[in-house]
Order: sequence, then C-alpha cells, then structure tokens
Amino acid sequence: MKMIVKVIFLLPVLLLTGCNMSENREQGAKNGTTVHEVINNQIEDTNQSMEGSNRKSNSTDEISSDDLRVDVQEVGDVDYDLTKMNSDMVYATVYQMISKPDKYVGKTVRVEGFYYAFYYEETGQYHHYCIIQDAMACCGQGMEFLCEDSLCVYPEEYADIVLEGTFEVYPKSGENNAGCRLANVTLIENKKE
Amino acid sequence: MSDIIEKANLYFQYSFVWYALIVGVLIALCASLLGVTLVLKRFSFIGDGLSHVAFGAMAVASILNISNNMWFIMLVTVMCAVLLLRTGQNAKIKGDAAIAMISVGALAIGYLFMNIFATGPNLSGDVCSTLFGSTSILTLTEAQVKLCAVLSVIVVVLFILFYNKIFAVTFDEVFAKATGLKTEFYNLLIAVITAVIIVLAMNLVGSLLISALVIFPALSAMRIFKSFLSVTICAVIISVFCALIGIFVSILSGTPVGATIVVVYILAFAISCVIGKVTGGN
Repeated sequence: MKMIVKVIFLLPVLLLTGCNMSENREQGAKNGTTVHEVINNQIEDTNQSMEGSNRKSNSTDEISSDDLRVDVQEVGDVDYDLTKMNSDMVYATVYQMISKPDKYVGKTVRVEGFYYAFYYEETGQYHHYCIIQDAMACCGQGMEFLCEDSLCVYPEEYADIVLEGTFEVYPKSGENNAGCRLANVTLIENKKE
Repeated sequence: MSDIIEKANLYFQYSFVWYALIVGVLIALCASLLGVTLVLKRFSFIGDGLSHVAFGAMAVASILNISNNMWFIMLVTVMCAVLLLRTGQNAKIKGDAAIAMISVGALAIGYLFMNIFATGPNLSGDVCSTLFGSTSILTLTEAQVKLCAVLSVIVVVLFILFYNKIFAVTFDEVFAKATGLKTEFYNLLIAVITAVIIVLAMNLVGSLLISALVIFPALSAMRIFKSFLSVTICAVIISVFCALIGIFVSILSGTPVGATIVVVYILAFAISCVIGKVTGGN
C-alpha cells in the first residue's frame, strides 16, 4: 500500500519533469553551442558573396554596401579575434576592454553579436552597438561601434553581425567619463541578409 | 585535441584567465579547510545562508553607491556569521532554523531593494550573475586578486596555528570548554573566517552554489579517510584539483564556471564513494 502511494506521488513529478526537458535541452543547446555553430558557419560562408542589406544610416544618399564588405580572408591580422573564443571568454574580454581600455586602444578587434541602435537625445544621434551575451544569456555587454560617415550601411536591428574595427576611447559630450567603441568598422557578416 | 591545445594557448595569454585560476585555487583551498569543521558541526548550509546575506549586503551597497563594496559586504556577512556561529550549542534558535531565517530574509530584502532602487537597466543580469557566478571569476582585477591572496594566506595561517583548538571545538565543544578552552573565541574565529571565505567565493561560484565548495570536498574525503587531519588534507587536495579542472573545462568549453566546478565536485564525490567502498573506508 505504501509503495502504491509513493508511486502515485512520483508519477506526476516525473511527468512534469519530462514535459520541460525538451525546452530545457533546446535552451541548453542554444546556450552551449551558439559560438561553435557560428564559427562553423563563418568558415562555410567565407567564399560566398555578400548581398545588399537593409539601410540604417544618417546619410540621405542610397549607397550600395558591396564596397564595404570584405572577405574574411582579405582582412589583415586581428589583435583580438573574439569570434574564435567561446562565450565565457568573449564576455570576459569585452569586460576587460571596457574596464581597462588603455591596454586595448589602437588594437584591431573582431567581435560578433547582434546589432542594436539606441537614440541618445543629448547628442541627437543614434549610437550603434554590437550586443554580446554571456553563456547563460542573462547578461549582455554592448560594444559600441562607428562606421565612417556616409559610407556606412547599418544592418537590420537584432541582426547577428560580425564586425572588425579599431578600439578607441572617445570623450562623451556632456559627461565626465569617456566611452569606448570600435572605429573604422568593417561589417564582415550580417546573418539576416 | 590539437584544437583544444590551440584554444588553451590562446586563452592563457590573457592575464584575467590566470587571475581566475589563482583565485579559484585559493578559494577552493580555504573553503575546503573550513568545510570539514562546518560539516562536522552540522553547519553545512552556513555557506548558503551567508552567501544570501552577502547578496543582500551587495544589493544595499549598490543602492548606496559604495564604490568598493567588498568591505561593506564582508562586514555585514561577518556580523551575521558571528550571530549564527558564535553562540554555538547554546543558541535559542539552533543551526538550520537560524540559517534559514537569516538566509531567506537577506535574499528577499536584497532582491526587493534591487527592484525598488534599481541602479542599472540590467537587473536580471546583475542578479543572475551574482547568484550563479557564470563569468564573475573572469572579471577580477589585479587588486582583487591580491586581496584574495592576502586573505587566503591569513585564513590558512590561522587554521594551521589554531588547528588543535579548532579540532577540539569541532568535536566536543562542551568538553573543550570544561578543559578551559575559550570556546566562544574559537567559535567567533570560525565565524569570521567562514564569512571572509564566503564573500570571496561568491566571485567563483556565485551565491547559490557556494555550499558545494564547503560540503563536497569534506564529504568526499570522509568517504576515504577517518582521522581529522587526513580528512582535512584530502579535502584540500580534492577541492583544489576539482576547482582547477572545473575552471579549465569551463573556459575551454564556454560553460558557466560555477556550475562546471560543482559538477566536477559531484563526480569527485562519486569516485570517492567508490574508492571508500573498495578500500573499506567510511
């Protein structure tokens, strides 16, 4: 009788656990293999040509983005290639860049994340970010980037992108502290195209 | 295999990776030393309780904009540790009930304050990172590493100096008091050392997983050895070894650091159980 009662109590617990497992597995797979999947995709995509993208820019001229896209093989040596690191290392490296920028100024950085633009009222401009999330996807860091004026075509918001640029520190207008960003950026890959 | 070696070579060029290893080893060492005492005194969950207190203190420190908040967190945690451990066997509210009360209270107050007085946009991220310690160990500064090293050395020295007294207070506090030992002082010492280690360990495994650092090495060692000294030494070796493996695996595979270390501890415990059965240990 006691055994039957125990089984009756255990069965709903096992059933409920089973219902959640596939969702948890998907999340676990998504968090655990995202970087590796992206790296493999990048290797496969290096020989493919890039198509035009959606425009998000301050410029009024319609400019093709083909001239801006560079094959990965044509790019020179990168000092810090975050696309070759796993999610823990990426998060930690970006944290180090932002907390100790002096060590990284002038270095070439390749970074991967999703694109996000934020309109900052005090400057009257959009600020563009590559958002990098940690392994658990609960924390994210933004690496601001800047393309050269009218030649830049920004991707669609939340598009997965790979960027390469030179790390710099710049003074923020109206604030006492400085900002960090990637300048002279080349958009290497835009996954929503 | 060559990919793993290449990746390891790349990662170990970064100083923050070495900082993580150094601090991880030191924290694992100190936690395991205290773990034997705490497990035998039936205070296994003190790590969990105090880590929740530390979380609450961290929340208050963030709201008050205290820049170097580790000292504030350590002070609050030490006070609670003293409250929980110093009274020893004569406490009106004993062991697990006292820990539970202080633990959930601090956690709730901390999270409530963080919600009401949020200082940043990423509240869930801040909370998640503190609770699980996914990448906190990889974001340490040189100053924090030095502080951790100094505190760890102090803990180890105190433990070695007062080894016999701590042993006596752990096994039979009443007898120790009857022989003239100042049990209140040594309970206080254990409380303070525990609080210090808990605050340091939050960077390694996060608040929710700290108990693993305290419990697993001691229990694993107890499967194999019987004497206090041999259990302590074995616990230290297991803890340091597992922490190193956990950090290595986590960094190379991109998994959360705290959870990976705890999984390695679990495996070590399982292996210890098998060894204990085979050799006829506990």
